[in-house]
Amino acid sequence: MSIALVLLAIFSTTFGAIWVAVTPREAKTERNGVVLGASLASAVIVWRLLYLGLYSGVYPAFDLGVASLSLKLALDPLGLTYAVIASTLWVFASVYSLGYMASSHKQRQYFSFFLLSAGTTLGIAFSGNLFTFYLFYELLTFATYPLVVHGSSKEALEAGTRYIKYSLVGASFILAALVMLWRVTGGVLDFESLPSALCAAPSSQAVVIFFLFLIGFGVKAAIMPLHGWLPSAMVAPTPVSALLHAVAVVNAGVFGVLRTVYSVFGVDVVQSMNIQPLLLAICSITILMGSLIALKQDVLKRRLAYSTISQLAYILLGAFILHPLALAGAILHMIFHSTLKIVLFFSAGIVAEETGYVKISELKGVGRVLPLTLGSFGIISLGMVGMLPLSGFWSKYYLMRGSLATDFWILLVVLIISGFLNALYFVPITISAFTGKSDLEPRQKTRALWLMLVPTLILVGLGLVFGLWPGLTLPLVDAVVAQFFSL
Amino acid sequence: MPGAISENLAVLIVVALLSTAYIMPLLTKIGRFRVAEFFAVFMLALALSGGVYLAREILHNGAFTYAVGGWPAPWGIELSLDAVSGLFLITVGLVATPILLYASVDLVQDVGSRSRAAWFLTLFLLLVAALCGLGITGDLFNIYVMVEVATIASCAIVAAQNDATSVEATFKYLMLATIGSGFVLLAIGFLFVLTGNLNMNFIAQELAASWQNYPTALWVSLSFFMVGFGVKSALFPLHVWLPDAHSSAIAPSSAMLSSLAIKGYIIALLKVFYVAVGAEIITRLPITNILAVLGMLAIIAGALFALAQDELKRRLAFSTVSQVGYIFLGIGLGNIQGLTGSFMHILSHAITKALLFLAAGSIIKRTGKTRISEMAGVGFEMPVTLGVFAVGSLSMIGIPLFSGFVSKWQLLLGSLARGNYLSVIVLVGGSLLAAAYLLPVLRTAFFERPVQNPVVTEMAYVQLVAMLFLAVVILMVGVSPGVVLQLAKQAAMTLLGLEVLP
Repeated sequence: MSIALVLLAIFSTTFGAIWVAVTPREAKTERNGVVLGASLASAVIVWRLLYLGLYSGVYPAFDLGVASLSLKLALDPLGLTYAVIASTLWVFASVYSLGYMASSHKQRQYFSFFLLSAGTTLGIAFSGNLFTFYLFYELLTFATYPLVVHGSSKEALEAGTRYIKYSLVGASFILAALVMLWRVTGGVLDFESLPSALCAAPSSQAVVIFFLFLIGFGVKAAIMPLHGWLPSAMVAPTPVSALLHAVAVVNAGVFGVLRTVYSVFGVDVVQSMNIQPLLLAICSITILMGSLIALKQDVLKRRLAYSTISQLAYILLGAFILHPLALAGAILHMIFHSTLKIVLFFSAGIVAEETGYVKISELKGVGRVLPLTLGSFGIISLGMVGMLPLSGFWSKYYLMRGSLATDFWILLVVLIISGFLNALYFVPITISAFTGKSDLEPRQKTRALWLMLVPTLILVGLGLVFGLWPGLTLPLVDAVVAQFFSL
Repeated sequence: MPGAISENLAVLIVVALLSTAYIMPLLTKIGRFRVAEFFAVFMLALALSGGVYLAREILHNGAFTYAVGGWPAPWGIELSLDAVSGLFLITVGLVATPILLYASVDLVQDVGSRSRAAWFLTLFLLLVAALCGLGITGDLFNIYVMVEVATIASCAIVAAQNDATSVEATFKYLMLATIGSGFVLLAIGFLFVLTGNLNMNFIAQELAASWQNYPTALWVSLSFFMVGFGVKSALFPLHVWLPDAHSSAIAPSSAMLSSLAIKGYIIALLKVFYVAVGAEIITRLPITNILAVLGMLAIIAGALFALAQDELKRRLAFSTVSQVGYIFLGIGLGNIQGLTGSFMHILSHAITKALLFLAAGSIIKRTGKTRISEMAGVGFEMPVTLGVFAVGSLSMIGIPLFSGFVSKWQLLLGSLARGNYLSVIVLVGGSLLAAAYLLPVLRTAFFERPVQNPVVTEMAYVQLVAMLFLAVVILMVGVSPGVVLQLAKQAAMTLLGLEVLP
């Protein structure tokens, strides 16, 4: 039964994608219905699976039994976290897309690949061994490429080429690591049995494999200096930036690193390799550099992109500290950063659609014309800074506690400086949007605008709810931590 | 092997194809050309099913030999039917059948006249027969004869179009291929003088006992084999004839040559090295290392040359140089995973490159554009053709779920088993370069805005079916390589002289 649910979660969106592809261009209502229905269905199924896992302890795992390299799907709390984030936000992004793309060209192509990427993402989340993971990870690149180049402008094509170059090079590092791992462990690639199989491996080889994986996944996780594709990919339509470049694709990279650390090597092996200071230094540099570069960006989406680079490194930082509290912080930050950052992108998209403004210097006074949009932006950006009563506070709180609980208290300084920088590059935007003068006329609220605004507002509410009742995420975070640390 | 037909099946396949080849002009004269075409495709399909049947027998009951005409070796010709021949028969059948099906639609128009088209069918079938012969023979002189037949037939089908460029390319090809044949003949002569035998198993026995008495002569013979077959199978840097020949021919010829013809010589080389000389001796000689190095050079250099081409068919031709490097690298690795990888790549590249050349030919035929930079927006005019081109590209790059990944994975394992990290880098880098030279085609075709909207129609129904068939085979092998992989593994074990359990 649960096996069917897992397959259904992955394939409902894939079928949706095929359905959209074969629907005639003019049948707009049908297409929109399929897009919404498919993403909603897969989200509901993922929530159901999460419920089954957390409350009944049922984590289905099964071999698909094809190929000599077995394809295996297996659920666990960590994978479910990523799946829930992605599939839930996919629904919001679907609604938003319907508004944003309402008058765009090549909608069939857009929505087909939009749904196809959703299925691929779930495939990554539910992979039970590294080979399956690699497979879906590679496919995600190809499923998302058409979304990045959707505009077909020269700039979009260049950004797409850059994206695919970075991704394929990264994936080849993963392939090299995979084949070396296969050799070391004698063909064991299952996440369940890998950490124990790797215990006996010679540590020099283990370090090489670890860094090959880190470089490979680091591309999508936008670790500096592998981040170059992300800011240029901002030329994509805003729902794509919001979903792929704040949630699905970048989190796939982060998720890959989490898998590498916790499911492939295991806490003990990583600890014994003595590479923690180096890893944490890389993350700290990415956090600070990302924030500093974000300060200098005038194009709003580019500033958000650099902010994303910085925030993703928070998650990795939490993962590399190798402490239960820090891991809890990392998981929380994965959830909260995604739900918050997507709002910022949504707002930026609405502003660009309604006023045509993409630069921060142009935003003076726009808040008076689009109060709800800029209001959402303002509230949520406080959450990115890490202020109560928004969810962003709690993840940072746990990250800080985690760094204090280990020898790496210096990270506390990094986190505080970065929080300060976040405030510096976010708050002025809101202030100038509401205080400055603009000669824009207030707009009629069209149906398209509402389609974009409603998901944004709901997500703002979600940010507040999680901020006020952080305990809501407790069962999930507990399960993830218990999965990797025996407390 | 019980039953009269199945007992003689192996030789029947070759004989049937040869006789079909010669009645093609006759059938065209007395009947209709369509009948001849249909008959040719039918015979190829029959050969394919024969190949599948034989491969199944070999998998289940082990390898066996067949004495042609009832004359036992060493007096008669011996066919040795092992996993190598089974796999190659399947490869030839799987690829040649859809190519001829594709060719049949526009053949008369492509080559000029009905009688020329009939001769094209003859040559095509001769080439297929020779390739099947190379796959099953166990005799050195037989190999030479088949190599010659295949060479002449391939030269002729390059020239089928009868325009200046293809005739020039053919001439270049013919010159170099003849030099290659000379080397092969000399090499066979050396082995004959050393051992007094032409049957490969007998040669192996003789050599095992006495090769240390004449190491230099053996060396010379093996290097002649390497150069001779290297020229014919476009081993870098002996590939110079290939880009012209493969890009100037008509699409089905290019597909046939690039995917199958060169593989026949590789199979011959494998048989000489591993069956006639034997794994024991060959792995002790540095010649395998030379092959591995040349293979790595080919992978990188071929891909770089391919990147520099703007003409689609030339890019694909150089891609063949690069992909052949993978096969030679696997041979050079000389271990079970490496050879398995080579065999898988012989199959996978054959299917993939055939598909890519057919798709490329279709685009060029319909739009009249030969350059990639001119192909903006073609993807929407010919969605199926470009769709299968995408499948072929992903397989060539080696994305999982496509057949190219299976061979790449085995080659990677083989490299690591030899501790050869350089070849890991080359293999991974090679597939990145493949992405660099193939994906821009798709980008231009699907995502760039067309300059103006030319009215272009898709290919004929039959041609689409032929291409879709190849695409489906790529996916099937990629998703579930099971039996084919087992056959390739068994072929590798046979060559290495390891115990094969039926």
